[in-house]
Amino acid sequence: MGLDRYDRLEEFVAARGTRLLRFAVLLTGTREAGEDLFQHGLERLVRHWSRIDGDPEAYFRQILSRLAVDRWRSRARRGEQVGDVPTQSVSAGTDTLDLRDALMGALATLPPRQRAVVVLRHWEQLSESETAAVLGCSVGTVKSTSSRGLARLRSIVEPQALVTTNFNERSSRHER
Amino acid sequence: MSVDFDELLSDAMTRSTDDVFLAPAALGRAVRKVDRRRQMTVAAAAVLMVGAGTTGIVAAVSGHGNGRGEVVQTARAANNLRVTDAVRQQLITTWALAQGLARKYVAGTAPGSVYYGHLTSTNTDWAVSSFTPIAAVKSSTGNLGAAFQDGPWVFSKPAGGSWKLVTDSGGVLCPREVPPALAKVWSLPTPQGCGRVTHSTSPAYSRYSNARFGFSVEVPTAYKAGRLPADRDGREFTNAAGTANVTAYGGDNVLNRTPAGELSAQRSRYASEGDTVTYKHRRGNVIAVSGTTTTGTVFYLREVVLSKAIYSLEWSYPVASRASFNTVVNHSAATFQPGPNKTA
Repeated sequence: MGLDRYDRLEEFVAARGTRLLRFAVLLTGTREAGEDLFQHGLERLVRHWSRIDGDPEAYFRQILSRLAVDRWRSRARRGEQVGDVPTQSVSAGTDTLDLRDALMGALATLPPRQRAVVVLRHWEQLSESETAAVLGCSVGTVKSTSSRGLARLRSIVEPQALVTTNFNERSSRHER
Repeated sequence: MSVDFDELLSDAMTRSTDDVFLAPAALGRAVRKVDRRRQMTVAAAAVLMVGAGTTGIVAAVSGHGNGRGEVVQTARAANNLRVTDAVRQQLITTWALAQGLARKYVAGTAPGSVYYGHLTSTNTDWAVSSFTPIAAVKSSTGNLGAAFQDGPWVFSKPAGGSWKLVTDSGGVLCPREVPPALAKVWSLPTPQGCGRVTHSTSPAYSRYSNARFGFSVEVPTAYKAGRLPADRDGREFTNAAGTANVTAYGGDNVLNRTPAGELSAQRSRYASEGDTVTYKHRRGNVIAVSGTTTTGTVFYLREVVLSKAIYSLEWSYPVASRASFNTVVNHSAATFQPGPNKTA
């Protein structure tokens, strides 16, 4: 096992690490939990590095996603903190910045699988079938989980956001 | 104003992580450490330190992870700030929301528990506080009061941002749980022991009890407790050499798994990671899975699978030292007491 192998790992993580760390932060809801998740994922990646045949980023994304819905390694981090919790309610005078904060706070309250599906679909921009492959579940599960997750986000955010904002929902994006 | 929900969601996720960066320099050192210590990948990976912060690459150890990292954090200037009532109220609101508690149940911050300061290098405010419940919660026979037993709690707030809960110190605030510069200006004492392990009658073992899920287990006294996850569902303990660890945790049985189903799922999980399962066992609602990894580590998982909750005990130690771990592993398994069959 030579250092060259790890040099390539270094190159990969140096090139894509920040993006994947951000992905981990979104999966867990907080920076600290995301860093912990990233470390756990990296541990797995190192272990399997020599056997990875294909795109290591996709593989690492899969590791992070599955760890994020795994009971301990992510449940311990699932809601371990509630993201960037807005300290003020979003009420009259709300604006897009408030909505972003409210959304991130709401996202952090979702169960791990719902959050993972939402992040994979809406941040990684994966299709339903791609999301299903990453999480190792059926497309139907992705559909229902996504639907519930988005509905919950809307239920948390929308009543307040409607004070000044109209959501122009494009539900078709969730049905592909 | 008309805002597309999908775009808003995507934008929120992107902007919320704009200031998250990886520290490649730290990574390089850590990966080489993995190479040197590849026999224990699990332990080595714990030093893969991630730097994050608005200043770009920050080699961060203190305050994150388990503190075993090698990367040195540069000294940070910090200022002690006066705790205003507004800050107290913000902390209470943030904490209550994170706990899933209604704000009305919190009487206030615990007297003498609040620290508040500013970390110049990251332009971030930090605070530490414990909280007291209202009288009705104190006398409640429900679980509301349990959330008030932990702490002090650590919070941070970026400039222009909002407070977030960083961690529950687990009963004893160790200076390492806040940036060193702040620990210094706050003159935080260094208590004896950081964690919630209490000594049992045995000199060799300590009993760890989890307040949230109600399970307990005895672990070797010499093992170091890891940081308490903020949702307080368990704890990891590591031996002095860093070669073995035991993790005990509880969780809701969200997938409604039966013991047989859970055993199958755990076997599959290990197999998918390339591990070799050499032992599996199920009796009643107790399952156990054991085997070895490709990196020379023995894993042992014991779970009590109830309809509403699953309680887990997981060991990892070197194959080469298998014999010497038999006693402590068996002891912890024998003393592992699950919590009640209810969601937490």
